[in-house]
Amino acid sequence: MEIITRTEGRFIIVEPCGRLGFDEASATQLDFEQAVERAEAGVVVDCASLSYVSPAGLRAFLVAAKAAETKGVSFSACSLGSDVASVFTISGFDRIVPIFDSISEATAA
Amino acid sequence: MLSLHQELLLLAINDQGDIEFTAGTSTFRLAFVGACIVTLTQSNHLECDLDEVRVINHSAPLDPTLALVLAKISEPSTPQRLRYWLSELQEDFQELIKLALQSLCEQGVLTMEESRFLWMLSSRKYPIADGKEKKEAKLRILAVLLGEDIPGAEDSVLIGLARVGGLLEAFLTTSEIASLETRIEQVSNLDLTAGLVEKAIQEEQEAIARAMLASPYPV
Repeated sequence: MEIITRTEGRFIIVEPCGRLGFDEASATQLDFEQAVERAEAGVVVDCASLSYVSPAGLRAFLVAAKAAETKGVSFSACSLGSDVASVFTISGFDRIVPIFDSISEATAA
Repeated sequence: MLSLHQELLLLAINDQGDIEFTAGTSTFRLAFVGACIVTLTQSNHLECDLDEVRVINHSAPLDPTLALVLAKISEPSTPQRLRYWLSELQEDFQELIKLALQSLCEQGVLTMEESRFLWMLSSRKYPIADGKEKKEAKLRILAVLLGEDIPGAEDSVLIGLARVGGLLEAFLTTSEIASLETRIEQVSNLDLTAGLVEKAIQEEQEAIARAMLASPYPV
């Protein structure tokens, strides 16, 4: 799985592409945590190219959300496809990670 | 440190060493079996998603309860959905509970007492040894519920499964649960597998309620 990271103003945008399963979870968690460390205002995970998230993948989101909370920056996700959105809803992650339709909405919030 | 399914079972044992009545309900059975599956996903033995549960590591866990669950899930050649396993493993519920109680006794968390009821019927109690582990689980739950931080996955799942298994009532009053409802809702089951277990329990409760309403006999 490829992860593209870029800076937009005071935000770090992280774009995981493909499947975020057990095999990819550790590396993704590290990328998320590094993004949180670098972020001035927050991290937005752009899920437009994310086709699948497993429980292990979700834990990468949870760890990063906790790290962002500790640092005092935001951590949100945007552009979720229907399968990934279902996983976020059933696992309750939409209660702790704000979900937006687009990057611009996420950075403006 | 105890596993999730052990902590859940510990919450179901009262101070006298009796297993709470809630432990006999189908919601507790589902919550306990669900806790075993969640523990196996957290230890990377299983991977569970919206479609199916897959075994990704066949090596038997040290815990006998988890080893039995993993062995059962490893049996079929094709992966099955979580709902299937929640139902299937309920047939092994008594054995799973027995193994979990034995394991907690071996770890010194519980002791076992044989006694007689009405001089004839034998009964077994599991008094809690020093209560440290149960107290710690309760304190972790309360710390999350009374705090504002995002909980870790383990604490979140413990709260969620204790709630759906009817175990929060064992140490929180109805009014305390009501006043914490928003927070409980926010932090419960932040885990896909646990979320699916919760959904399955809700569906079962709805099915029971529908069946009772449809019954020709007075409820």
